[in-house]
Amino acid sequence: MGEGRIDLPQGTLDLLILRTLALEPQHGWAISERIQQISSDVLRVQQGSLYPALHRLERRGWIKARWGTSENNRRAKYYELTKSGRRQLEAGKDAWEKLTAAVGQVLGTA
Amino acid sequence: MLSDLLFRIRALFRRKSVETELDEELRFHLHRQFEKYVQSGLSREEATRRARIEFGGVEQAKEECRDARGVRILETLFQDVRYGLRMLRKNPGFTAIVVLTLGLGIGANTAVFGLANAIFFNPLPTVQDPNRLMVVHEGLPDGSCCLVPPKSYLELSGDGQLFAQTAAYTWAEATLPGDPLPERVEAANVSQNFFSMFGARFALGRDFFPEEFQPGRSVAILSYGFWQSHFGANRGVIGRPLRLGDREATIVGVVASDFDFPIGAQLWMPLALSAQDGNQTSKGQLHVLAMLHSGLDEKRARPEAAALAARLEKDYSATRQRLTLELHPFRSQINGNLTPLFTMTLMGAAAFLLLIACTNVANLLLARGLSRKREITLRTALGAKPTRVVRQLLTETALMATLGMLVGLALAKIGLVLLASGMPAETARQIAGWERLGLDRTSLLFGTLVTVMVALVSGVVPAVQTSSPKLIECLRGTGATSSSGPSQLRSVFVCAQVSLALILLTGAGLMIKGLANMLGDARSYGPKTLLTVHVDLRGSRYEDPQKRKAFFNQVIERFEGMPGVVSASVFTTPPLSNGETMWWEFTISGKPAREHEHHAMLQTVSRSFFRAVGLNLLEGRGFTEGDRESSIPVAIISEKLAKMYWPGESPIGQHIKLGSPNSDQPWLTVVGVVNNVEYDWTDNAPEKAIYVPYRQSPPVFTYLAVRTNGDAHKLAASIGHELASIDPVLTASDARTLERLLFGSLGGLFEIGGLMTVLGMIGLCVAVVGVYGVMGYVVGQRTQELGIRMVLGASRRAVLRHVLGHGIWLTLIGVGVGLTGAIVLTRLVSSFFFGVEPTDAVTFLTVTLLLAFAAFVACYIPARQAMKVDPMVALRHE
Repeated sequence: MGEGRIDLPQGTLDLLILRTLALEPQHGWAISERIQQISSDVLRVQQGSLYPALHRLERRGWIKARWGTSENNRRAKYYELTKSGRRQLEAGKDAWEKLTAAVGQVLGTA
Repeated sequence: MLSDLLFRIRALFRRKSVETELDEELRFHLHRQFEKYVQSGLSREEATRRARIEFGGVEQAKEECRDARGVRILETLFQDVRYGLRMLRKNPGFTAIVVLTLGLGIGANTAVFGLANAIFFNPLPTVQDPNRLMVVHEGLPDGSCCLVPPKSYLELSGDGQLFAQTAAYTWAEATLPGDPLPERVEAANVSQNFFSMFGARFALGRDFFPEEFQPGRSVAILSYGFWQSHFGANRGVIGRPLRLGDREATIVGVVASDFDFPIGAQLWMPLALSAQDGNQTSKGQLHVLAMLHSGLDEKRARPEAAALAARLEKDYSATRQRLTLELHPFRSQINGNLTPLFTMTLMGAAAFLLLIACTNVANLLLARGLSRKREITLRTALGAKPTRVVRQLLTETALMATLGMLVGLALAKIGLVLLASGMPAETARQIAGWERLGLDRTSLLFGTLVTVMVALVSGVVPAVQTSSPKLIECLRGTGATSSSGPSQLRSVFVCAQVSLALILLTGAGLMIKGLANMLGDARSYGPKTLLTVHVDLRGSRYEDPQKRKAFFNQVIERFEGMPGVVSASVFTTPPLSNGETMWWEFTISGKPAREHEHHAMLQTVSRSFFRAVGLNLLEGRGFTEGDRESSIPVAIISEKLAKMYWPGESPIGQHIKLGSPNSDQPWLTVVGVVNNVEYDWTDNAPEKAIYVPYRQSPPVFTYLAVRTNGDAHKLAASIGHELASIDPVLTASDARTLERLLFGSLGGLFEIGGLMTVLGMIGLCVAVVGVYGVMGYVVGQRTQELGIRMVLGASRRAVLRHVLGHGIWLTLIGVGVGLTGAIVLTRLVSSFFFGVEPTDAVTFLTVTLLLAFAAFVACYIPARQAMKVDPMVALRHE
């Protein structure tokens, strides 16, 4: 891995995927590109964990998949957020904010 | 949850398309990344290389995706099953032994459970809630017990607090016209509610109407069997008259085939209680059954029953003081008091057999686990997790257990068929639930549960042991000779098998010895050539004792005139009969005693009886022609009674009388002493017996017997004709040899004995195979070591001794533990040993020697093989 990049804490990847998909349906490659882009190259998603995560989320019913045509005219598997996925995203975001605020507080006062 | 499962299943069944999709998805990703690099100006080769490196292992990613989709659990199960089946086919010998061992264990348990379920857990399947059905006994302080007088019954039925429903019945005698003699029918008079309380269904017709319980109404319901045997299952019997002796009854119904209570009843008639009966308090005459209210059980109903008894007692004032009401679960009463213990004993024995089978299989699996060490090590080295390996091994065990279950259920089916056909019909009729003996749904369920348990018990330890080999050691190839953990465990298993088998065999041995004693007793009476007929002289025609005496005189004279008859005799109780014995209180002149202190069995006989059953006169004289009603009343007593009351002196000339000191029975002069006879096999000792001549007190119920000098069966018909010519309306049973009579009452016992023997022998075989398997395996594993020993100078005999010593040592420990267990456990079932002490040294010794010998052979064969090891071959073994 390059410098300036950090490993994702456990469970965060799911949240990032859900957040990315909240904007519009995307295929796997675009999801990883988007995360990398938005995080200004700090977060880089390993392919080896991206796809298992997508399949896991699909099994849980938070996202669903359908085949579509990509920007370069190839068949690609697009994922989109389901209703329960959206709820999960809200809940995950709340929890995340609480966590970071708390961790920040502890680190700030230490 | 559901959608999750559907997702997995869809993934499983559409595996191919799911796989292609996954492939395409990942390929798209790679391609897109490649395009990105090409756009940023890299060469095509470089772009491909970068994209590939970045992506990492495609196969690994796929694998993790499959995991994430949750297909794996089901998929690996299929894989495991396929692989397992391959492994089983590869080792047919091993598979056969395991499957057969499990089959025997599962089969024995299923069959025994089927038996217990039919005759103990659920003897009357029509009853909705058998736990609430109680038998009600009324007891008095003088020890008289059980039957309930009509007034108490009416009080009980009126008590809505305790019982939801009550019913009563009495046995009634009835005869059908027959040739040459009337045919006796087992009939019962039953109260209202009787059929509904048992949930009995009717094959034809209906239950009694309430108004039919008025005295004078004559209606009858037939049993299914009686309907078939006497009416050819004719559906038109309803409304027809049935001729019963001098009465006639109209048939109103036929019960369904699954109802049989009171056991053996062939027809039922209404129990009519008159107002006069309703006030009858002095004499118990009804069998009373009651259904407790829902939510009550035997224990919780007890205080209420006591309160009810107190209320009854007040009502009755003088006649029935200190009266008690006892509630007994119907289930444990219906087939006699011994049935619960009997079923528990057999189930215990079967459980022992199952344990032996389980340890045996566990041992075999452990041993095989060692020989598969390489394979498993390789799989582990290639990345299989231990849990994965355990699952694979457990799947194999489960497969073998399933095959074992199929074998077991087949064996159970065969066993139950043999068991059912082995029971004499007369006895089978007396056992509730016997005709339903078979593999029903409950037994099948039980068999399945046992199988699951067996698979877990025998599979888990070996699987865990096997799945965690020491990697490096094994790959290097030295692992095979290491003899740590598993081998100790195997030794423990061998000891356990030996001790379990010893306990099982000891129980079976004691039981067989008891039965053999009894059989020896039975043989001594010459049962094959003694033909017996039971006659019933109740009723007005024989009310006068003189008439009965005349009848017996005539019978003896006529019988003795028949060709082929050696002698004819009369007796009231056959030897070794269960429950037919008549116990009397008696008083000894000049020896004051407390009330009810002395009891003896009363046997009324003709003077020919003693010789007919081979009894010897030990002292005094037998009955003679001179002992008649006008001469002094005499008695002959058994040796046991003589020794008990006149130790060291002669009882001849002493006086005894039946009943309490103030009874009006005549004093009897003791004129002789004869040796002991076992009359009642349910207790373990011969009875104290008093014999009186029939001429001085002619009995009402009695057996007539002839000793024949040829085939007794040939005489059976002529005996009937002879009796019919004396009294054409006599109530008599068919003529049967004493052998059949005895087997009728002992048949059930021999079945228990036979079952225990079979269980014991299977246990022995399985245990010996287990010992043999392990010893053989040990020798195989130690070939190299033994070779080195021989090269270093150990003689072949020393090697033999060494290997044999190991096996014998294990056997001895097993025997020690087993003997301790046997001493403790056999006490619990001592009532089945019939005169044999539960610590009988001969049995213990025989069984121990038998087992030790079998174990020795099982050790000796592998040890001899070890002796024949060629040192050079052994050294090159690895």
